[in-house]
Amino acid sequence: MNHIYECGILIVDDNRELLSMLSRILEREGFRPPRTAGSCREARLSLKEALPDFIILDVMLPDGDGFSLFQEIRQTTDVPILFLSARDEDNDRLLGLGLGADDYLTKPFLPKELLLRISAILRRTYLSGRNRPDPDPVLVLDSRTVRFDSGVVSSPEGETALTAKELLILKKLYENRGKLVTFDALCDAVWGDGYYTYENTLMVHIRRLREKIEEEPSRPRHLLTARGIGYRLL
Amino acid sequence: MKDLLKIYRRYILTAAATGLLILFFNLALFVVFQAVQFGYKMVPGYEGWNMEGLSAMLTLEDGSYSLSEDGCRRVDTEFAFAMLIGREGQILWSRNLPEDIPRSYSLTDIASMSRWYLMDYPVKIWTRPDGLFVAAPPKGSLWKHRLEFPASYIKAFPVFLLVFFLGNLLLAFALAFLFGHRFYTSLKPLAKGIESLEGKEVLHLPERGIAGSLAGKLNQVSEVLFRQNQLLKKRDDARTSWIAGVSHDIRTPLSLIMGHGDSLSKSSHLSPEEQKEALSIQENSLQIKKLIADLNLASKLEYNSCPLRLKPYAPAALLRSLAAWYMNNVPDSRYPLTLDIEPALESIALTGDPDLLSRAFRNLTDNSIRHNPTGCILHIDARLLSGQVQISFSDTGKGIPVGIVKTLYRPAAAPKGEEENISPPHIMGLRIVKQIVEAHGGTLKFELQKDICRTAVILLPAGDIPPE
Repeated sequence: MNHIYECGILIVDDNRELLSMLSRILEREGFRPPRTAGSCREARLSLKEALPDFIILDVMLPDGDGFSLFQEIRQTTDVPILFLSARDEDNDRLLGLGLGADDYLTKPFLPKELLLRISAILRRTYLSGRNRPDPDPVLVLDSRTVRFDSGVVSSPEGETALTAKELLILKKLYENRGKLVTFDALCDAVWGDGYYTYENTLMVHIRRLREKIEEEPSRPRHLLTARGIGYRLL
Repeated sequence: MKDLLKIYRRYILTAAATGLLILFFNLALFVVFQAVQFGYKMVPGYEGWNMEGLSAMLTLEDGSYSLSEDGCRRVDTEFAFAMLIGREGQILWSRNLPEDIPRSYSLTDIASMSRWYLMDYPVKIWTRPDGLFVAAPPKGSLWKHRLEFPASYIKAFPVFLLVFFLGNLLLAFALAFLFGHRFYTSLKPLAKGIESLEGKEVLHLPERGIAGSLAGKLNQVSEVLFRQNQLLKKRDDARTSWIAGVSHDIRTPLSLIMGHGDSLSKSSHLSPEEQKEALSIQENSLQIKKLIADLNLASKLEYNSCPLRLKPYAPAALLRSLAAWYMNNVPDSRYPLTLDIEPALESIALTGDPDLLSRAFRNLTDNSIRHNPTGCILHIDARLLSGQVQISFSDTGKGIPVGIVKTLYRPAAAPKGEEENISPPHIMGLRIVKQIVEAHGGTLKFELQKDICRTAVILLPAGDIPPE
């Protein structure tokens, strides 16, 4: 499979209008025309005919519930399944995901959100070997370059090694680049504990990190502080 | 235990008071009895059975005895007879002597009559140099008894009295304790019954003992309460299920509306104006989705069918994550947010449902944005105040009108005030905040300034702060 749009999708829902609407949305996005089933029985027949690459499954069906059908399908195949249900109770969501579903989306939903979720699951399942992001990318900050695999910061002045903690902090910020990361999330990522215990230590590490990655550590341009909340890597 | 001691104290005091009362009452009765019985002795001139005086009135003159006039009157009125027995046992003088009384007496007769009776007369004797003066009160007027105790008995008597007194005291205390304990044990199930009289279950208190009838009444009351609670719960469940059902049934049609709206907004057959209208359909559908979710949550919180997923959380960390979420998702520079957390709050851990609390906090910041389209500055302040975590959400916007605050705190059954003509959906977000905070044992307050509220204060109990 070269592209996710080649995937065959089966939609199981008792509302015929919703089935045709979902089909149109998927087709418009570029997917092959999906197969549809209005009940558990129809779904079983469709599965017997040919295994799809992805299943969108409703929970409340006229002749059974989606959770049972899910377990039945799982006995024969590991095809990714997304629950699309009007049941929005936390328990239902937890049950669906707990059974091993790849995602759980509640109705009403934004078509765009559904498409994004489906694409993410399909990419993860079928194209993960090819399009996997670089596990140890390189961070370029003006004239400085950080290599996450070696933990070294290169600058025109020379190379500086990051300590293990500095590297962990920078990685966490890099994973959320552009977003504000709280002190608590950073402490949790580095020490696995709360901010209260490591408040001062975190500040010291940030100061040293700035000395290594910023051109003017006293006037940082990349590692910014949101007072009283956290840090943001730009 | 405290109650038991109270009951013991009361019982002992009551026993002591009762004992003292009975003692004084008996003493008083005895005094009255004595006064009634011997009251005539107090009459002036009355000498009673004063043998010395009477004997002195009998004198020997010229070889014959004569009793003074006063003596004669006393013998006649107070005695049956009187006589003087000479040293040889013969009667030397007598007055009113009955026929059946012997005229001479041996030593044994004298010894017998001095202690007991002479022919059933309780005689009294006075020794004189010339013999024995004998005066006999009427038969049956005097009860004579010989009182004789071993010396050792008299010696031991004070000890006996002490033991007797202490024994009685101990017995009284023991009885007070026993009755107090019985009273306590019979009241204990009642107290427990009253404590658990919430209508969650029917009480089956034993209907015996001194509080038996009271226990019976409590059992009846608990049964009535239980039945009423069941009915209320049934009604609440029906209402919650109905809302949940309606919100469930509306989801699929709403999905279709949103899907079709999305398709139309991208359709090349429609004009840009029509595409905009289709987009509006989608945006409004999203609003309906949010309202349905709010309605569902509000109804579940109202009827306690939304169990809290309790776990320990740090309020400071929760507020920081809220602020970070806000800054990452609301990049609009018209709504800057500042967060101020008191350092003392950093070490505080509470137990609660962080997801629900985040929902409450977000509702407040969402309100600031939604009702101030031209922008406002948001500020969150958190501090520890007398055992409570106080979180204030304020903004520089137009504020919440007093009517909304009044509507929020008005009981469902109370009539509306003039300024409370706000339909419930418009305060759904605030109602959810209030419900979530109250479900955590906290309170939601609004600081009013000139009928406008720009600060909402959440107070959460910090009772379970672990020691540092």
